[in-house]
Amino acid sequence: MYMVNTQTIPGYRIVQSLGLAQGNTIRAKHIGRDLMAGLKNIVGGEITGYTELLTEARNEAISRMIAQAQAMGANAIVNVRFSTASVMQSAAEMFAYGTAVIVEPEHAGQ
Amino acid sequence: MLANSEVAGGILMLLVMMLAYTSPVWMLLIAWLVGRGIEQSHLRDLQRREYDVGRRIIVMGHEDLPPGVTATQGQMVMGTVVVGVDHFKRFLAGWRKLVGGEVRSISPVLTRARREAVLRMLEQADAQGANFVVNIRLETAVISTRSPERQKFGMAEVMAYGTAVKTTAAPAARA
Repeated sequence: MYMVNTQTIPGYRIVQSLGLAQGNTIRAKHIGRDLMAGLKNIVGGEITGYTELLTEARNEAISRMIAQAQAMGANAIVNVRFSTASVMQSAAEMFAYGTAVIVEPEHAGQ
Repeated sequence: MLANSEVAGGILMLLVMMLAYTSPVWMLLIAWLVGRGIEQSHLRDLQRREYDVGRRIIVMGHEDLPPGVTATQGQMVMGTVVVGVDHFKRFLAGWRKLVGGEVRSISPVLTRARREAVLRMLEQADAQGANFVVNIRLETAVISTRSPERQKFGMAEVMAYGTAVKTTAAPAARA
């Protein structure tokens, strides 16, 4: 599965657009990680536990988007966008969306 | 840099905890000293990595490559970071709210976080051997306030994403 956030994929030609593919997930904070984050809130700096947590969540949203695109019969997703929203206290929604397309390699010497 | 400081950070953190909660003055002093140390070392680290990766990759906010350059391969890359503000900066920001104006204690924190997120994205692109990262997007989300009823800044996540592109010709060196 090719995935880009541009409208075209270098070296490939879009032959068919299949529509919007999207994936989301809502994750709550972990109490142990929250404790460590509380400490980090005194001295500042990166909160590594949360960086990992949110990356995991975003990867989940991406894989759901990919699964949806595959179900549509696509082999690539173009123009991928992300958005994050705080839906309730100590929980965040990760959302990924893009256009599912079918691409084929450019051949016959452009 | 982060791996080393994490171990020392854990020990320091315990010390901070023991002292900080004995008096608010101690807490401010420690937050100021330790927070400044973390900030300085992060800035040095950013400068070194930016210089290193900046020689091989050009970042662009739009999609089109410069004329004469043809893309051969593209793949999405991203970098994220969650940052917190230290207690001393939050204290200053609290005073700032009385008179209004730019909150100079907090805005550098977000700037630093953005540089870190962009760098992580670039390092991912660099590992793939890309020459350009095009169509870069930056997103900031406040994920938590430490005490919501008092509306204090707690943590923010900064995310950078774009498409890493390999090209036929290497980018011209910057002046």
